[in-house]
Amino acid sequence: MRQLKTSIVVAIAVITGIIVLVGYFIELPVLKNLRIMLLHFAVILIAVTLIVGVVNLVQVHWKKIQNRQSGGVYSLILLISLLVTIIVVGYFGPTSTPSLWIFSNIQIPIASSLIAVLTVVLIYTGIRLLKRGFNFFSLLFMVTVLIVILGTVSFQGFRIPGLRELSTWITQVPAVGGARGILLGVALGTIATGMRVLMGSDRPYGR
Amino acid sequence: MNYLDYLYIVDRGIQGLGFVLIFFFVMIISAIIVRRRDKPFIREIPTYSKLKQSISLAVESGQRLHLSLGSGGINSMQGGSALAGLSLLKRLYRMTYLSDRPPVATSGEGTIGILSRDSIRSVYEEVGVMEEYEPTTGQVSGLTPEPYIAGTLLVILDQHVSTNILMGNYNSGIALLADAGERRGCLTVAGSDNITAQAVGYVFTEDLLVGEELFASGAYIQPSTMHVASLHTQDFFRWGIVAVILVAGALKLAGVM
Amino acid sequence: MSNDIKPNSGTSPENGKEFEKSGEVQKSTTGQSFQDSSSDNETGQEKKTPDWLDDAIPDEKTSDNVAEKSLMQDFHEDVEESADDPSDREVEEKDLPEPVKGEQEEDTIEVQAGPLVGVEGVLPVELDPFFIHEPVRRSIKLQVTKAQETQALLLDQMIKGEIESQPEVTQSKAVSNNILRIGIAIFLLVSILLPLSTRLPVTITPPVSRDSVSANQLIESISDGATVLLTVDYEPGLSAEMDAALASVVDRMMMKDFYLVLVSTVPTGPVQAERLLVLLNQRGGYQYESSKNYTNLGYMPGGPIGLLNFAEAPRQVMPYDLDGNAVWYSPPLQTISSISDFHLVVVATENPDRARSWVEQVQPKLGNTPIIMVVSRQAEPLVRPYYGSEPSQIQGLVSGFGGGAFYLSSNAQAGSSSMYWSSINLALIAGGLLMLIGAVMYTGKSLITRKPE
Repeated sequence: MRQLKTSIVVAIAVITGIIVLVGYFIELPVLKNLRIMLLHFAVILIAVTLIVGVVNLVQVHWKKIQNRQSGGVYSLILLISLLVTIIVVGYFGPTSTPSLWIFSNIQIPIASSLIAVLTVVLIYTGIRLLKRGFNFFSLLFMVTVLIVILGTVSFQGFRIPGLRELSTWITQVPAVGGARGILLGVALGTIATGMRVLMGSDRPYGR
Repeated sequence: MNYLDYLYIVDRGIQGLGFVLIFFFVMIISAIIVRRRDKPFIREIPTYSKLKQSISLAVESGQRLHLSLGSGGINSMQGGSALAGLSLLKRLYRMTYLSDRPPVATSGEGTIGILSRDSIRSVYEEVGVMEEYEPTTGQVSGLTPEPYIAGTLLVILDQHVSTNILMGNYNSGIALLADAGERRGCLTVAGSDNITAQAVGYVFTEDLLVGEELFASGAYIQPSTMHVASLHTQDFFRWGIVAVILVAGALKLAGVM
Repeated sequence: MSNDIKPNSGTSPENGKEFEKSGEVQKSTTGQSFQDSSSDNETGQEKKTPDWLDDAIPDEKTSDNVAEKSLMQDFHEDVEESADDPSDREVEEKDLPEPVKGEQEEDTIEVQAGPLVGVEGVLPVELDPFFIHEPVRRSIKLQVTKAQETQALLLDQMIKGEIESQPEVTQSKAVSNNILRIGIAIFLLVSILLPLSTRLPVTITPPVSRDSVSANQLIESISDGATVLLTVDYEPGLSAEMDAALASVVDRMMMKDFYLVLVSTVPTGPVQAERLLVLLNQRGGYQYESSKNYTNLGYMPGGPIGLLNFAEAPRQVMPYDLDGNAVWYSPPLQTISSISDFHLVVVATENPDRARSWVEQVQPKLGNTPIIMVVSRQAEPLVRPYYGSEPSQIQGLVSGFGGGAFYLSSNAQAGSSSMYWSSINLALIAGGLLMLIGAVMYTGKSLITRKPE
């Protein structure tokens, strides 16, 4: 019985994937309509999973509070904030003044400060990069970072000849070329992963 | 729609679909060849060797593994890295389900959160110890990138994590996760399909999975035939793309194209 | 003194009687016999042993044979008895180990002197000079091979490692790391706040950005009152940079009275867009109102899938605005039936993947409608190829603070981009300087401590 269930699940996944894939390349009216319908279902499901994600978040933090684990206070604050935000935004509307106040005065400062901490951490690790290992690639990395940073700044009357051009060349030629190569590899990996899912040999959806 | 329109549609479709079909057949052929060999012929990736060691050490020392699946969802190209992470999650759980502290999986997107819980549950079902299954071992720690990073930081700092595996779609916030791991003395293995995250990861950890190495976990940890075959297929197409780029570049330089 | 030295086991009745008979006499006899024997020894002629001892001791001539025979006889009898039962079979004489055999041979040694002369099976009185020698000196040092020694040492170290408590990660190292981080933070803060607080005459002009020039020219070429699709697709964390860059473009569009249709593929996007318009209303003195000057369609789920759907059928995918009004059947949106009917599409994002999704999923459906990207500095290298391709898939590109600042200056305007440009420059220099110092320090350290090969 379980095997039959698994087989049905796999069959649905495979057939759906094939319809969407073929429908994307060959725009026959029947296939196109079927593809659009399936994609609409997918979009609705993805929107619903957003709510499921919120529920899961609440579950995890509630459990943390119940079990009196370390950091339980922060979980309590999280749950209270969630509740207050849902009430305010639900009652007044997402673009109302109270909602914008919460967004401008709480969410944006917190998110921005996380990015600020990130900046400090990146500089700190950049300083210690060569401590980890003095090798050619670490040195090249550091030199590239310094060239790009110094090539970006612009002081009136202060300009190192060629530095900006070098910085622009680095960001637009080798960096982009390398990035494209990596992205091509990632794309091939993604195709392979998708192919395994379509073939049923890789099942991220359980057994 | 007349005959010419129909032909255009089919012609354009054939190019794309043809690529996918060729990929499929090369994978099948590779799988047949791989099955005939005794040992899979793939190069060593030191990061995966270190990861296998650290998994064993974590089980023995009663510490926890943390697998972070990123904030990409299956509705985009970032879904590939998320699926790769899910595949690794299952393998991890098969190796460590009886540990004192089973691995914890965090994700930054609802669909991946659901799939991670489903994957963990399926492993417990498979081995027949459903009573050990804890739903909170697969958790959504944030629904957008920054809250996800903040939530995952709490997991790394509070839950006796010995090994951090960051495999998925990240932005530059991966730096904070790697830094937290370093503060805790964890081994951090990072891999992302995002270029910025890879650049940042290079600075933070020696155990970085670059590019498609992220998708190779299934061939190195509890390898399966199809995973190894897909690696060979990727290699085949990579060389093909290199050849096409070189030929096209040469033709362009020569003024032919 | 023991008298039961005879090799025969047990006492025969005869001997026993005689023993009893001479029991009382035994003591005196013994004493006497000793004396007698000693006296006998001295004389060498008279009888050596007392009578009772003679009886007990077998004949000299036959003593060896008799003794051995009787012993072996008993042995063989025992062997025969157990011969039938293999499990009880005892070890045969030939299978006896040498020391046992040797013991048996020693039993036949006859005492040659002393009171027990002629008696066999006793420790000899005479000291055989050959047995007297210095004991062989044997080394008490353990004989081990090199490999065994190494392994034993390894085992010892492993055990010691388990027993000894490991020292904790030095607090001083953790403290010094924190001090360094705090120092970096303070240094950056000072460099950012210095131009703002002191109003130093540090005039920094933003670099010339041809991409921003193209974007500006494109917007200027569109007639006033046009309908523009504006996408706010960036996360709150980078809103500082993105708001500054996008504000310069949106400000220009508001000046030309464009009707803005807002949409987002990020959950916080609609609120971000709303906030931006409120800020620009305050700063620029505009009176932009929802449904009158702009429509906020809200969050579009599904990522690239949602984008593709929207590009193909915007009315079906996003039929209502955030307030729940059906907006596509009233002006000005009633003239918009597909995405190519918009006069311009502006996409603001910090994520290069999202930028790519817009270019790959939506741009093919745009037809002649131009698209402008407003991106963060980190995404610019990956988005630029779409701008620089032939034919270009993006018609304008404004990147980061610099692009936004130049955009403003080209319109003879001032805004947050130009205000913070000096601070950004100083902060970049501060960060670069710190990394340079670190690089020099650690390079020097590794060169000095590197051992000569």
